[in-house]
Order: sequence, then C-alpha cells, then structure tokens
Amino acid sequence: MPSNEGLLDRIVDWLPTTLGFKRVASWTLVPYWARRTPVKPLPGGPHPSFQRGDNVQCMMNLIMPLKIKSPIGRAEAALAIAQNKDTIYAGLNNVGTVHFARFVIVGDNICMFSVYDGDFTNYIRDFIATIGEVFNEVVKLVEGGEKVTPCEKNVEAFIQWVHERDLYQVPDTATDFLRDQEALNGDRAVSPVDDDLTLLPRKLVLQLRANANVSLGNGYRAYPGFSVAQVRKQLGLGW
Amino acid sequence: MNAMIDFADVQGNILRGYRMPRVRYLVLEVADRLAARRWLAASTSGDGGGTPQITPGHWGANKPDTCFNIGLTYEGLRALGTPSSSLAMFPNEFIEGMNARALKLGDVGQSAPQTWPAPFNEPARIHLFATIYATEVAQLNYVQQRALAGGKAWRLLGTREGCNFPKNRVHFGYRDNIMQPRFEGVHDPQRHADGQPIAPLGTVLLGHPTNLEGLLWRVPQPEALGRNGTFNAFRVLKQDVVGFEKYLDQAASDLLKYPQVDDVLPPGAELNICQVLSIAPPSRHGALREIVAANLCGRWRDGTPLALSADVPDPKLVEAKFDYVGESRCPYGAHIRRCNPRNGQIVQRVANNSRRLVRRGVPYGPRYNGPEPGDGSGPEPERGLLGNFIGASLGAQFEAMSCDWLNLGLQDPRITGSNDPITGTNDPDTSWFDLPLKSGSTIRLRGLREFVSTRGGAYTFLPSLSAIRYLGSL
Repeated sequence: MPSNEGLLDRIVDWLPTTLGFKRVASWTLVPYWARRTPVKPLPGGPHPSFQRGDNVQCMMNLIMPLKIKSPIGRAEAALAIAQNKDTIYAGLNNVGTVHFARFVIVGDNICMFSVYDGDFTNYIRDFIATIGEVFNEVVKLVEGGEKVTPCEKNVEAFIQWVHERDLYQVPDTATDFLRDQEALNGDRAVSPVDDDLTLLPRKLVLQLRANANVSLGNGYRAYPGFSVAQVRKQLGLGW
Repeated sequence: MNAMIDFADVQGNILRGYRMPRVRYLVLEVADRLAARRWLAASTSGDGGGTPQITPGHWGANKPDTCFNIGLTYEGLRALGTPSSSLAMFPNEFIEGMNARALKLGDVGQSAPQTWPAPFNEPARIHLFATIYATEVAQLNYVQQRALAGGKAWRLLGTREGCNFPKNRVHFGYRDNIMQPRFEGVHDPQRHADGQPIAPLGTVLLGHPTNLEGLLWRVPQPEALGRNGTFNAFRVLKQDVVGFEKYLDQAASDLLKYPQVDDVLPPGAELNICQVLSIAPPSRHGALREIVAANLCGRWRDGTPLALSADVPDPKLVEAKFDYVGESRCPYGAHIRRCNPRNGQIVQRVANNSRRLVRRGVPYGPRYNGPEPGDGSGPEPERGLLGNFIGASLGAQFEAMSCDWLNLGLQDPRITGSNDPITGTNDPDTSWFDLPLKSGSTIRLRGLREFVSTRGGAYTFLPSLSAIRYLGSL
C-alpha cells in the first residue's frame, strides 16, 4: 500500500528510535506526562477470571527489598530459606495447591516465585496456617515486614502486603492492558473500553514508570492447566 | 451464661434460627446521619414503644413475637461517620463489597451485578439492611412502620420478603436447614451429635479463636465496634425450578438408555424409593429422577444423606451422624459435599472444617406445584432464596468456599474443572457431573444449566449490640 506519510510524519516516527531522543524523553517528556496524567500502579497477580483453566497454575512473583542491602543481608536471607527447607516441603505438601516455589536473590531483593492453583488469598492464608513461622523468618528481613508479622496475628494485613508486592502481570493484548488501566477508574470506568490505541505506548511507559518490575504475561504453558492434585493423581503419587 | 461470650451482646440471628415463618428485609440508605445515629441508639435503648429493638442472642424467658436485626454495609458505616482509622481495619472484601467480588463468587453472565434490579443496581446507596422476622404479614408491616417512623433517618430503597414452606422444604423440593455449625461455649456438643467437630467461636464471631489454629482475624477497633460482630453475605438467589425439574426428567430419560441403568436402580427398587418419597404412580423414570436429584445434592429430597443411605431414602437418618471418610457413596461433586467436605480427604488439608458458615435462608416467590395448565409459554414467576451466609471472615469462609470449592472444584482432582451441579455457574455445553455407581465406576451427566442465579446481594457487618450503641454515640 502506498504511504501517504510526509516528511514530518517520517521524522516523528523516526525520532523515538534514536538513543538521544529516548534519553531526553526519559528525563523530560515522561516526567511531564506523569505529572499531567498521574498513573496508579496496577495491582499484582493474575487477572481475575472465571475461565477454569485460568484459575489453576497461577503465578506469584514477589520481589521484596531486603532491609540490609549488603552481602550480609543477602546471606541472612539465604540462611533463612536453607534453615527452613524441611518446613517448606512440609508446607507444600499440606497446602496441596502449589506446583513449585522458588526463592531467588536478585540484587538486594529476596524474590519468591511460585505457581499455585485457585484463589491467591486462599493460597497465602493456607500457607500462613501451615508454615507461618517461615514467612515470619523471611519477612522480618524485608523492608516493612515488621508491620505484618507475626503473620498469624495479622492475616488480612499480611495477605494484602504480599499482594502489593506481587508483580503486575502485563496482559499480552493491548485491549486487556487498556481494560486494566480503565479498571483503575473504578466507578468512572467506561465499558466497553473506548480508548485511543495511539495512546497505548504512552500508557505503557507511564505504567512501567509507576510499576518498575512487572511480569510479561501470566506465564506461558506448554499444555492446558491442571491442578497439582490432578497431576499427582494421574502420576499415582497420591494427593 | 458462657464465660467467653455475653449472649446479650450478640445479635440473635447469628447464633440461633428464630423459626418464624416470615422474613422481610428493608434495604435502607442513610437520609440524615444524625437521625440515623439516634435511631441506632434508640434500637438498643430497651424502650419497646418506639424504634424496634434489636433482638439479642439472649431474650430471657419469653420469646418475642417478632424479631429485628440489622446489618451495615461498608458504605453504611462510612455514611454514619465511622472514623477512617476504624474503617481501614475492616477486611478488603467487605470494603470492596459484593459487586466488586463478582468473579470470585461466580456472579457472571445472568448473575452479573450489572443485571441486578433495584436497589442492588446502586450498591453505594445501600447502607443498612433491617430484617424483620414474624409470623404474620401484619406484624411485618407494623414493625416496618415503626422502623421508618418519622421518615428522617432512613430512605427506603427497596424490600425483599420471604416465607418458609412447611417442613423446611425449599423451592427445589429438598428439605433444608438440617444442620448448622455448633459452637464452642454455645451449644452442647452431646445434644446434636452430627459427627462434625464443634466449631470455635471465632468461626462466627470476631475476637475469638478461629478454626485455623493460631490464626486470628483482625478486629476493627475500638473493641466495642468490632468484637462479637461478624460478617454476612446476603444473596438474592433466583432458582429456576422449572429448568431443574426438566433437567431431572432429561437425565432420568438418558439414564434409562444406559446399559448400566440397573446398577443405578436395580429392577424393582423404584417401588421403595417412590413409596418413601410419595411419588405416584411409581415408575423407574420417577425413581431415577429422584436418584439424580439426590446425587446432585448429596441428600435425598427428604433430607436423607447419601453418605448413609445411597440406595433408598430413610427419614430416620436425616439428622444422623455421617462423614466422607473412606468409600462414601456420596458423589465428590455433590452440593453439600462441596460446601462442607467435613473430614473427607481434600486437597487443602488445612482447610477441613475451616470454611463453615451459618446459613439462614428463606424462600421467596410462589411455591412450585408442577407444570402450570396450558402450553407453558407464559412467564414463570420469579422464585428463589433469600440467603444469609454468616462467618467471621468473608474471605476465609464464604469467598473461599465459593471460589475454590463451588466453582472450581479444587478440593478434589476428580471434580476439578466442574461447577457445583445445583448452585454453580454452569454452562450446558461444558458442564458435567459424575454419578457414582456401586461398581466404583461413574456415569457422566452433562448439560447442567445455571439453576441458581444471583439477583442481588451485599456484604454486611452484623455489629454487636455494643457496636450499635457505639455507632449511635458517634
């Protein structure tokens, strides 16, 4: 198809691809946009869904900044996990809805990545009831953790605290991303979403400014979703 | 009086069923904050002449002729001027409200809040539910008139009214209200030995030990506001009785074509089933309908648990002790087993007995008495259940049960991916239910519809009498 773009259009399209423009835009344009149209960080965790396949094998991506930002702080976090390894295994067995859980140290953050079935709050609450003391050991090393420990006595606050640290899962499609943005408007949201797609890049940049760490998508499965118990039963492992 | 709890401080509808046949819900909006506070103060003043008095858990020697209780939404607490520091201590699910939790509760499609009629289409305006329990309509009218006298405190947004059917039957024809949780320090565990463990008081009241050992739910402060209060999920649940009966017809006809039908219903067994359930004339089709109904629910329609008597209903067993341990004949996906798996094996081992709720329901709409004369093309009157699901944590009890158990079947890999066969958000194209056979195999029933749809509701806080006085004194 022949292009109707004039010289100015081509310059406008070309400019954002240059390194210099990206730097200048990061320092000036993005803060200006952010001031003009403030964007709240979108909540973390999987998008609520009523499709059953979406409600198993859900992802949690927790990034928790350590209080002590040094090799000693990181070593303390590593030790807290290692010392509670057996309890963690027992917890996984008793909670019954977790496919796997990983602890990773990235910079001065202790990260917990897990894949679980069902509702997020039920998952965390069941874990508190099962191995709350391990959460306490880890979270006491994390910035702000003292406000929600012991988790057994601060169940609702602890679940909310974890939820707030769970990464926003950026949808794969533009319309779903715009839907999430619109949902932030609450009662003022329009449905169906009637938004200008040309503003998508700006909205994404502003969201990533408010939400520096995100998950891209909600996990890509190589096969349809099955629950932990379905897998264990099928493999004859007991459930 | 139990040392743990002052029954006079707890609203009466939490720990006891009033057994009054008529119930009316007044859905109210605060019209004048100061007048509403005065009304609350007056409702606990002990002055029987003016504002109806809140019925407490302890009423002395004489049962009142009518009972009166209230529940407040988060918006209602805000409208009354509850301090923001106290409001912030209420749990998220209550703050967000039932409409915002639609996906978790399966309120989608025809149950979506966007389709709810007034007054539930404006949740922000719903502040208080006042519930009147009585024997006669005239009594309901009298108490309503007293509650709204002066017209200054509240604006009436709407009402919902229900009436119990004889013998605790509900629209789908089942006997209901057979078992409720028994609470530590409240009920005598020897008196109603249904085999279920006595529930800690924190299952139903804030400020007491919960069912999850060592876990405590947050009590909104000051103590007078939160302690001895609880939460209620009020639901207007429309029941498609005609659709349900048609489904039983279809399922029975389908079963008759199965080669294993004699495993479901041995030849001649229909006589016994039809006799006990008064089905005339007795037929294999009629008995199979009842077998399907019993399996979907987990109880025969007369209340007999399938776990105790899977082949024929036995009225003597309605209130008997049973459990799902071992090879129970109750289907894994049956309604009562999904809602309360008792001590049966479930995936979330820690959750056994932790999601129990006090259920107070009353049918609304005309009782279904079989197909209407004519061609059946006229509209069916709306009928359903006005349900209250009461527990100290909406998130850990009502929502946890609704989300993971009723509408996902996460508790057992044999039902994961299916919905509750009676109350679930079922799509005929994808729904399924496994009906167990004596041989151990199953017959998969399909084509279940959404027999129950939500037509309104709200999360409310049922404050203690101390809390009502506190709110009245703001």
